[in-house]
Amino acid sequence: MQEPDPQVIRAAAQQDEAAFGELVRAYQAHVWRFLRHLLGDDALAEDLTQETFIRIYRKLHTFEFRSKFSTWVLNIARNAGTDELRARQRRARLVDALSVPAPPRDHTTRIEIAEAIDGLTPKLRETVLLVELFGLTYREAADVLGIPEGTAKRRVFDARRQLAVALAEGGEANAL
Amino acid sequence: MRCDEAAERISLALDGAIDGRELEQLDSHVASCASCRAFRQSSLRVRQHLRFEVVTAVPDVEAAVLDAIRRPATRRPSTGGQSRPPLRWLAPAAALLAGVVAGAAFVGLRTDRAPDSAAAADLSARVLVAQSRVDALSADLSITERGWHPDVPVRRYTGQLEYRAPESLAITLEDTSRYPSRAWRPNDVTAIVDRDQSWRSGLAACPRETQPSCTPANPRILGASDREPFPDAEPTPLDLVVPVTSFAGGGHSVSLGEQTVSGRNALGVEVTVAQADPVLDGILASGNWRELHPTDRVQLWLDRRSLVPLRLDVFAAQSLERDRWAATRGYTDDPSRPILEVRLRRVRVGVADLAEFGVAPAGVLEQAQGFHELPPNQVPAPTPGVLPQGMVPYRAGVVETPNGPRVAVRTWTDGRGWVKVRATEEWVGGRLFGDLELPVREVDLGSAGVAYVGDGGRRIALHGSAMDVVVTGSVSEHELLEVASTLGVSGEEVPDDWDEAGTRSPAEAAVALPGLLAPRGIDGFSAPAIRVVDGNYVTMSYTGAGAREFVLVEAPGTVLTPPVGADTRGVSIRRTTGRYTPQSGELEWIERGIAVTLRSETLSLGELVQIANHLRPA
Repeated sequence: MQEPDPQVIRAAAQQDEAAFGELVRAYQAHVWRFLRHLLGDDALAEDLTQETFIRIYRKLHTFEFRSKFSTWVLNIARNAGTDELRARQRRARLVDALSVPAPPRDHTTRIEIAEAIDGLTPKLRETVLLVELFGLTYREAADVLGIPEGTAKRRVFDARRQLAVALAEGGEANAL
Repeated sequence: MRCDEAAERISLALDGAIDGRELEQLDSHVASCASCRAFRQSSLRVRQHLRFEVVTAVPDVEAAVLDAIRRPATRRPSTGGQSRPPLRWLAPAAALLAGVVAGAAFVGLRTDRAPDSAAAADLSARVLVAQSRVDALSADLSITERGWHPDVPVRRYTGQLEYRAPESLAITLEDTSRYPSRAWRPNDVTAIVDRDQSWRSGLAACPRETQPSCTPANPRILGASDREPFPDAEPTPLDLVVPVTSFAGGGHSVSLGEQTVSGRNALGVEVTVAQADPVLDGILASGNWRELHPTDRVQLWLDRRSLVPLRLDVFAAQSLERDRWAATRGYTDDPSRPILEVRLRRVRVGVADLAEFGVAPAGVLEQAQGFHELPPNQVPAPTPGVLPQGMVPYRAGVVETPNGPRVAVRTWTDGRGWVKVRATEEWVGGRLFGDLELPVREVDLGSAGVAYVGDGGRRIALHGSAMDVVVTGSVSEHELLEVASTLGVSGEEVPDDWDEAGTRSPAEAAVALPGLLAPRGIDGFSAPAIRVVDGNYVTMSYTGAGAREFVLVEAPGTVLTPPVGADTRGVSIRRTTGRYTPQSGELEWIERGIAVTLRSETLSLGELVQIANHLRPA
């Protein structure tokens, strides 16, 4: 992922709209792709992409050039996504309590791999997405998530193992 | 190796976290382990799915976000809960986004949206003027090199630079680094150019994995005698002293302001390694140095008056393609620390100590270049009616080599700037005389006929009925064209069977391929050199400062040919899905029945995307 000119970041932090617009254009697709895989919902990902950039705009003055700008952006996107996932869990608990059955998954429109990724825990999902979608190193993914590098490495491996199992099962199911 | 252990290593290998022997051991295990192969296969499938996904309609949230931040915070959107107000009311109806891979304003590419500072913007005009100001220079050199080898993370050098206009130069560098043992050879470097002879001594480069055993015990010493003035094959001394080639072509730079460097007022600019290539080439031409990526950032501090480089710091660029490049070479560069620092200290302008010149050591492999100096009036090369101001005749003569044509050479200099005319009556044809790379640009010189411009305006060729001529120099394209048009040689169109016969103007290319796209509003590149073959296969070549370049190829097409690179990945570009291959630096997509390829070895993917976003119907 490309890094923007530091002068553009500084200008945006000083509320220069043109500069901030440039940052939005540079990163919105990355943020959206990350969020739609994290949440499994395109429209929700679009809303949260907007939310992410609004948060970025408010926090830009705190960016201190100690990390890559791209990892800082992804960290904010991830936090926005995590907030949403937590809210969704709360809603799910409420739904359970009311004994309303969850809507059936639509197998015709979701491909096998996307389903397997959806089946991962949020922690494994966010880690493997950072590495696979953007080619981040373990160190960079760890920086985005605020976890040790070794944990990132382990999570990517665990995610891959679970994905392999899920995809093998899917394959067998298809064969039957 | 156990299978569960192997699976963990397969995961690491996929992320480039292991290499070398470990990788070989893993591969041999996987070859005999079906479950390991299945694990690797499924992991690759997931990667393929995520990295190559077809993203047709990425939402463009820019307008909505800007709208939201302009509003007072009372309507602050919250996340979570079903009551969260939908934000999409802010968005323009289903806006699609073009060119989503990267944004604008990266170092190196100037567009109409990113104006330069005044000081940096006029640098191009200023280096052309400054090149004639300083005729001698003496300075102490110090260099720090980081990341060359894991066992020798930092290497330091001290040395001396002496220059006398127009083409005498001495660089000596002593490697003062600490090495693990005597098996490692110091990277001492000497480069001497003195009019018609030159020699350079340095260790031959050898791969880092096989250090130190691959380094020969003794340096390689290469010499040249009977050297023609300002030869193409060597970096010119002038570029090391004033970065003419890096900036004269209207190169793009970001101003870093001003500060005191080595006790002098200095003007700072940030460019890419590709643009600073002529300067770096002058320093790193001999010896065994670490590699630099063309998109790495160079912070260059130039003496405000003379524009002599005083300090140069190279920083690793941050991008996926650069990371991959580094991984294949085993470099782990910290982007916040310079990987190469060059300092000029005790700079004295107008002084040069060249006492040691001309004393080549024993054992030099000398190559005669066949140039014989003659009085200018005895050289059968045409003389221009107009020369840039202050230029007087300099060395002239004839080049005679066993297999080449007999070439007459005349040069002029005003001290440091130079102009050269090479002419021959023995050119066999097939392509233009003068080593112009394809494609070239055709320029109408009025009564002097047709000229062909190559190398981004640094080479002008004339094909006359009796004589073929090429004009080169350190001055602007405009001045070189003026020299070419007053030589008394009438330039003709090249014959139909020569390589340059497909040369076309932009208007002709637009007729050949209706719907042709060309960049608008991109600064820092020459007018395109265009070639059309097979009726409608159009190649447009753009040259910038230093080694910066890109090629745009367009031809009718509805599908992309199968990818050849293992690293190829999908990108959203101009409202469609294209692909990028880091190995070849190619960005490709289909647009309105035209297969478009943007290719560059020296620009980053971010810059290519910016160029793509500036394409408009020609």
